[in-house]
Amino acid sequence: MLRDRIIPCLLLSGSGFVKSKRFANHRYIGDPINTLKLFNDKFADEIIVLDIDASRKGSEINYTLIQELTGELFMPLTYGGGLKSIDEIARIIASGVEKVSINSRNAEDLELIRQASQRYGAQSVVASIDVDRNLFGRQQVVYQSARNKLKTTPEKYAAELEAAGAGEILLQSVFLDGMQTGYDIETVKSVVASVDVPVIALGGAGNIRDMAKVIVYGGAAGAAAGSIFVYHGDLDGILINMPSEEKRIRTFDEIRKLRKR
Amino acid sequence: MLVGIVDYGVGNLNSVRNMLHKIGIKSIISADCAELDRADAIVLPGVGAFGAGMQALKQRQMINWLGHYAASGRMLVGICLGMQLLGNWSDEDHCAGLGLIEARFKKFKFDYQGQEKLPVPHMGWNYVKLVDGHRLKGELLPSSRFYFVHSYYASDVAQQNILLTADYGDTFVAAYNKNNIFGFQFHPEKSHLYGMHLFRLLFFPESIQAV
Repeated sequence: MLRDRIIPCLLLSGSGFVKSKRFANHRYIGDPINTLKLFNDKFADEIIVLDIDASRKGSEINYTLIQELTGELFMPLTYGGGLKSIDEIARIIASGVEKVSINSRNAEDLELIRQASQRYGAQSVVASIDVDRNLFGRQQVVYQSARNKLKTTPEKYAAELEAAGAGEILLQSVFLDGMQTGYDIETVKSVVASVDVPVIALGGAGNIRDMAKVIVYGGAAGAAAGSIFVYHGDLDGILINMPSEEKRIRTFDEIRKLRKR
Repeated sequence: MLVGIVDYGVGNLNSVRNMLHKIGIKSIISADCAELDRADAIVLPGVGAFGAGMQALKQRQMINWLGHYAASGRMLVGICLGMQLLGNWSDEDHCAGLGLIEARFKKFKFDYQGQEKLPVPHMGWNYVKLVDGHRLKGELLPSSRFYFVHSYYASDVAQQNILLTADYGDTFVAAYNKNNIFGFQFHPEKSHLYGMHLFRLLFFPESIQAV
């Protein structure tokens, strides 16, 4: 039986990790090397690191830092941010990263997804989709840190990305980012129904129950989150934390039982 | 003990080296068969497509050498794609493998009636079961789990060569072993203390205290 995938997602900005709300209001969380070491020591199953400067400001990918990060990690790492060419992907993979996540580049065409998938296999290629809620409450695909829109639906887009060779879809809600009010289960569900590859939900987790819900009710293959792994308590003090094994299993069991009823 | 990590341009070599280093094992990463031949054990890592992997071995003229190495009785450990390349055949790219252990790799399919449709690739942490009468030099850690990423699995494996099984829709072969040859479908080098313990069992069993 495959273990439920719960995945800390950390945002790299400059030389530090930050956490955002609705893709803005970035708050400093900590030094990347120490932070990842803590997650490693807590036996996190996997980690996603997204360099938001590399995609937002077009700054150079920090290969040196990525290599340092992978050196002490005994779990898989997904890297995303600013990937525009197969050479950049080759360098990232060579620095010890298991999977690359490609987002904004896909708005032009899906050539990079195709190339990466051919060279490294679909399992190494994650296509990331950012979805925002427009004025009418409809879900809209956005890219480049939510500054631009694409004329497609998340479902259609996900299917295209899969056909191009993506082995996994990382589906992020801009509207729910950092809000801790729960995932957008409906959108997750309809994207899951439109593809065969695993879909990872990101954006909105307020606790481990939310993660269990998006997996059990939404059909997500995994639940990624930022806030709940780095904040603690009502005042959002910074504390790197992972749910205990008992709590994790108990919560998922509970939600699965509720669903069966 | 010196472990040689085969560099054939496919996949993540440093992570294997990092974990070996962590348990106190010296390793070399090399594309040179003569240099690799000095090693007491060989790890054949790899990610990506089967055809490209065989092609890469061929280009570097490693195929014969791997056969000789295996025949020398020293340990040869394939990981992920490396495990698959040890087999005879993969349906991926319809391509023959090294044929060092009998296996045919088939794609996961969940299409028969009443079966839950599971995503492919099989990606994430899964629990494994060690078969009785295995040839590892000790047991795995309790509730051992490992990180898997693969779309193809070993079928037609002789019963006595099955080392570990896992469940994904059905039970499948998560690792096989024939004499000095081992293949692991998952990534021990990315599986925290569980993988570390497995590496110890393979390369440094003296370092494990008897319980």
